Amino acid sequence: MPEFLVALTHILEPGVFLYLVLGTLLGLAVGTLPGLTATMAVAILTPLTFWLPYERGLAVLVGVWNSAIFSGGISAILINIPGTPASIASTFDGYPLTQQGKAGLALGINVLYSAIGGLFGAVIFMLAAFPLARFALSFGPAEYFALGLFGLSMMIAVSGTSIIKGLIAGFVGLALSLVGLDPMLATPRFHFGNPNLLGGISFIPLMIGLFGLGEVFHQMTLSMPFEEREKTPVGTLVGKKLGRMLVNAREFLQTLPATLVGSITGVIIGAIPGTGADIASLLGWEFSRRISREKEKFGKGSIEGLASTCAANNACLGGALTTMMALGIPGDAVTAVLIGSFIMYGVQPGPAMFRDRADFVFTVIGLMILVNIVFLVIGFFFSRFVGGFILLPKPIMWSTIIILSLVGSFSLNNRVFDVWVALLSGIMGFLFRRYRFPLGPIILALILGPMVERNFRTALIISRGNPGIFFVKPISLVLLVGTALSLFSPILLRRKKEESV
Amino acid sequence: MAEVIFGIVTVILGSFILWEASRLPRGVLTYALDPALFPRIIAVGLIALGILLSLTHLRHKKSETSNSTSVLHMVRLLLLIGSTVGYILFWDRGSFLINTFLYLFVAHLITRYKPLPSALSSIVVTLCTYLLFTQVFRVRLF
Repeated sequence: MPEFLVALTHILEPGVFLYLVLGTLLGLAVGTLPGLTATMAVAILTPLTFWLPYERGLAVLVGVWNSAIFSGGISAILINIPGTPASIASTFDGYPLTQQGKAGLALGINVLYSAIGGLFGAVIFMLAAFPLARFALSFGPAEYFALGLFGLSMMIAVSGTSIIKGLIAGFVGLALSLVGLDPMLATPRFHFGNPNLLGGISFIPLMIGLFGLGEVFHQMTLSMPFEEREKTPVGTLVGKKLGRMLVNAREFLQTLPATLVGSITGVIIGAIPGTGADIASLLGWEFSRRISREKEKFGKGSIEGLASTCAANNACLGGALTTMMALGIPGDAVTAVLIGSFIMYGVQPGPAMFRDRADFVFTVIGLMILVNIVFLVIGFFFSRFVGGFILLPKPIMWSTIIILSLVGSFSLNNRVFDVWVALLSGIMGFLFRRYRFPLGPIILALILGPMVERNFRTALIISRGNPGIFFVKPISLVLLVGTALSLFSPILLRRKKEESV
Repeated sequence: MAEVIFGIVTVILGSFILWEASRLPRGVLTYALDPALFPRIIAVGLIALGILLSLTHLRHKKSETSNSTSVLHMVRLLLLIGSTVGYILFWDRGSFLINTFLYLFVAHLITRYKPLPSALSSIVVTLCTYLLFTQVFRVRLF
């Protein structure tokens, strides 16, 4: 049976649909709660989906991911606090619309245009991923090494205020990837006599700790008193009339160019390794403002502005998935975590996956299309009610996350060692967050580390130890130049700016 | 100051990797087969970056913490981490239901949640977690 038919039978299975709905509802809750991110949710849910057939597990993760990105806009619109970083730009026009008494319309725009952007991204993913993977199949070790470095450098360059801190985070991830067996000769390294470390550091407990426990620890130390944090203005909104949710034909036509600009920006930004939905939505908003006839309304409750940013942040997911699946290079922190989930299902993202496991690829494509339709329906029904999630007491939320993280880490291999890994990573995640070290490069480097090392050494063996091999192959050279530019151009630009001041 | 400490820790980590790498068996035929090659590169990178971070912040003398934190908040976090360590140490000993309930109850109290709702929510979360993992995922908990 052709692979896409196998995928179709998976997607049309009622169980898969139910898990997709469940994931979408979970994502709705996660996205609405400020402080809970899609990355954290995917990390914590990965071990919980380990027990399911891969198509059902994927349905939950895809549902949570897509839904959390769109629903981050709900709290941005209702209380001016973005639920996830991807929704920062939704506060620009969403909250002013709420202040104007058009909260319902803003919530409707958030659902509708997120779904349009998400579908656009999924279609581009479907069209672009296979040709990109075919092209990447011609890559040799030198190109793969350069590609790994490029992906890592992009994430470091955009993930924080300091390139040095980003580089340290990346190198810490690479150092963690050294633990276990050497990828060439299987020589045991850095295991310190502990048999639990021979297979390498467990990836899932590490990401659960970094993104789940670390975030909880960080939130606990925020200086605002707990009692004050629980008094959010949403209490005044729950139960009140929010007005119409659907846009009319005139408004729909008016927002079309902005939606298109937002969607295209989202896909392109998403496909660039190391970026993410937060950057996509901000740029989508800015580009739409530039082409709009009503620029002055942007930031004051423009439906065009809100439509473009909503379309951009969900379109970004299709772009990020294209690069992640076709090249094995994650577009952002969530896709870095998703790589871990895919590996857990026994699939290694990269061009070979398109050749060997096309059914898996088609299943992901199908789910990405279906989830946008599902959250469109669910979003319209539930958007006005989920604002109530924000009233959930933080201590209960924190303790639930902690216990799910600990038990989830244990459940993967029934090893207490993994629970310790999660806790230590949580403390590391807290310290890194507190002192503004980005976490994305750690995960990315941990994933890419063995691939980068294997290809680096294989290329050197092919060239009989001559490092020139990385500079004579055109694709490798271009990627290495790109790596250098992404790392050094922000420093040079800052110096130039300082000099001009 | 924190960045300087981070820098020093990074240098120590790099030096440790370098020392551990020197104890690995040598590669044969070509240096590319040496299992210590990549660890050495990582180690040198960490040392260089650690020095760079420390020097940069010694010059600016400004720490980049994301938020100010009161001593009380920090004490609460340390208490929570301490109780989590205790919970993990007692993993496989006693009963999952009792251990988890006690841990959650203590965690709620540390985060200054009221005692009665703390007890009730601890019972609910413990039971839900237990049922989810043992009945749905078929994980054998202690």
